[in-house]
Amino acid sequence: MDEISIKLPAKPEYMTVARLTTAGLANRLGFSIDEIEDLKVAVSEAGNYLINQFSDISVLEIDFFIEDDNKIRAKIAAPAASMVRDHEDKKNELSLFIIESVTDLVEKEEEQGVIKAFSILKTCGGSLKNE
Amino acid sequence: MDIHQVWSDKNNTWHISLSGEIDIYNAPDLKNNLSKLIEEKKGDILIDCADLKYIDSTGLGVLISALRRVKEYNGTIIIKNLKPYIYKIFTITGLDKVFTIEVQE
Repeated sequence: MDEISIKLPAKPEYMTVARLTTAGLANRLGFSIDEIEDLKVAVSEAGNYLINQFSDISVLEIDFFIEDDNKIRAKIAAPAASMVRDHEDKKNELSLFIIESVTDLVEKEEEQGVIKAFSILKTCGGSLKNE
Repeated sequence: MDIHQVWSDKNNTWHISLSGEIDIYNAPDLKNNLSKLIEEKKGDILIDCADLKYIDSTGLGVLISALRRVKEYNGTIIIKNLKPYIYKIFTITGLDKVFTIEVQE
């Protein structure tokens, strides 16, 4: 299993870098254009979620795990962040809804009800939901 | 992201074309831009997305808030030439029923 990790400043201007990296990896594995878009959207929305949620977020860590040459598991985490904003609920509901709709599996790492990381699975050549 | 806008007196409509990516970084610019246009002339808004490559939940939020303001004076927002993979985000979120949308062939 290959692993690719990037660490980005948790600033809105760097989300495009997260999307480009995601697209490059998914393209290398032969994901279709729609599958690439789905994964890009999911990774980007997970980053949005964490950036919107934490007021003290400084770093976004994204780890990609290539599984069986046709699956990408992306873990998006804000390991050092802890201070939760109190007015971003609505925005984040939309992010969460989109992430869950475009991926095969989403796992959330929570601490006291606060999501600190997402683990997203996307399979090339079909959704696990349909199997 | 680039925004170009032209006002048409003929049909009382702002013709806007969006290109590039709209995300958490530049969605505030889009919000300011749309707000200014709505303040300047209260008409309908036609958004051409032929060259729009990406929009995230933040961008969708901006469009929803613009629609709310436009509806206050009984206006409409029409979104045309959406790429199918972007239209998918509108359908997932139910926004295909909120906006009038034409998808790019």
